[in-house]
Amino acid sequence: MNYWYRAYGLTLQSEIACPELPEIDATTSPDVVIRLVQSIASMTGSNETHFSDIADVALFRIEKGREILVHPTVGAREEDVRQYLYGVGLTAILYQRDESPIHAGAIAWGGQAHLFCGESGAGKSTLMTQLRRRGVHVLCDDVGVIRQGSDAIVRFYHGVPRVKLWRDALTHFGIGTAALQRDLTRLDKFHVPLDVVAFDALPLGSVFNLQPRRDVDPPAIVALSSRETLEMLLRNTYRPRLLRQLGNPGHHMMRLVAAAGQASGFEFHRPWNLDRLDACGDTLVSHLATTIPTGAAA
Amino acid sequence: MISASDTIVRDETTLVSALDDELIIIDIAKGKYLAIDRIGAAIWEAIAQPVAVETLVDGLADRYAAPREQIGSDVLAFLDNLASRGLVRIVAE
Repeated sequence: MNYWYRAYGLTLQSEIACPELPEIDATTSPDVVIRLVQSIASMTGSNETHFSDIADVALFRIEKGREILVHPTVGAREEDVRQYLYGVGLTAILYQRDESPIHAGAIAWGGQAHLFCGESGAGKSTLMTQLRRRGVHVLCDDVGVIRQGSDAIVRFYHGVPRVKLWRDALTHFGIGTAALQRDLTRLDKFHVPLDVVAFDALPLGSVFNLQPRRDVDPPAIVALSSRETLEMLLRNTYRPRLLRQLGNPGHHMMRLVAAAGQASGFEFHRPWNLDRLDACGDTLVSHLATTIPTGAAA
Repeated sequence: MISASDTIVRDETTLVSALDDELIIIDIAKGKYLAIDRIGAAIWEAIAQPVAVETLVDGLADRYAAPREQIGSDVLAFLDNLASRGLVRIVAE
């Protein structure tokens, strides 16, 4: 049995059901094929193969940017296998394809994608959820790909449409955890699915560096130079070790230079307090409404 | 070390891109980039073809109406920086 999905602007044909990914019609020429392998004997590879052995979950064989073979460990939970498939599996595929995955949450506004970078714990997902509550279209909270088209425009292709939230944030938003999937590594974190959107990509608009600050209130937005924006994007290269192993660091950097040239970069100083989330949403929405000419939310 | 009597040329495979007023030269081996200003960018343009360092310095001294000695030492320092990253090399006469 095969399923067809779309993520990062790629078409996937998969023998593993991936309910977290947007489904598409069957296609005869998928970009990536995901196969379920029962026998470990098929898991041999060449020097172009990347192996990832996740204890108690699965062995992944990732080949030439085209194929992922998955050999689950006996007794492994399907959800866990899928999380690693989305994580190391698709990331390795992206780097083998000479793509540039960026660690960022993203929203659609005025026909553009606006990214939110920040260290783990900076509050990306919480902010994405706050904006979503205001009717802003949230694309992802974790990873997307930056790609420059033949028209020279840099676009953002979102990955898995979900938001990962800690229990305190869920409580703040009044979201129950019963129907949610638990995060792999962090037991008090849960995955909230997002609405699936009809498009793959939007031109890159702004890039925000999210900075939780105990000494700042109200929230503040400060413009960055193109070079500072480039630094921010470089710092948020997703899984840089895989880039060095499998990708093309030079091409990656060229892409980020193009992205930094096109995007408007900002620091977003966010008061470190869930009670001030409304104020953060106000500040961002009014900033976007003033800076994006077309105004209305996409 | 590059000296005034050398003829040099930039490495053709280097990835370069403009960002605002600067030129971003990508140093793949180090996984870093070098951001150079307008004068650096003018030098980068000038060494697309093999050129004698003295000729390069003369040209820049004229263009920016600056003392030749000053320009000379700045250019050599800049070229040494590029050479240490393999972005420029000395060619045989």
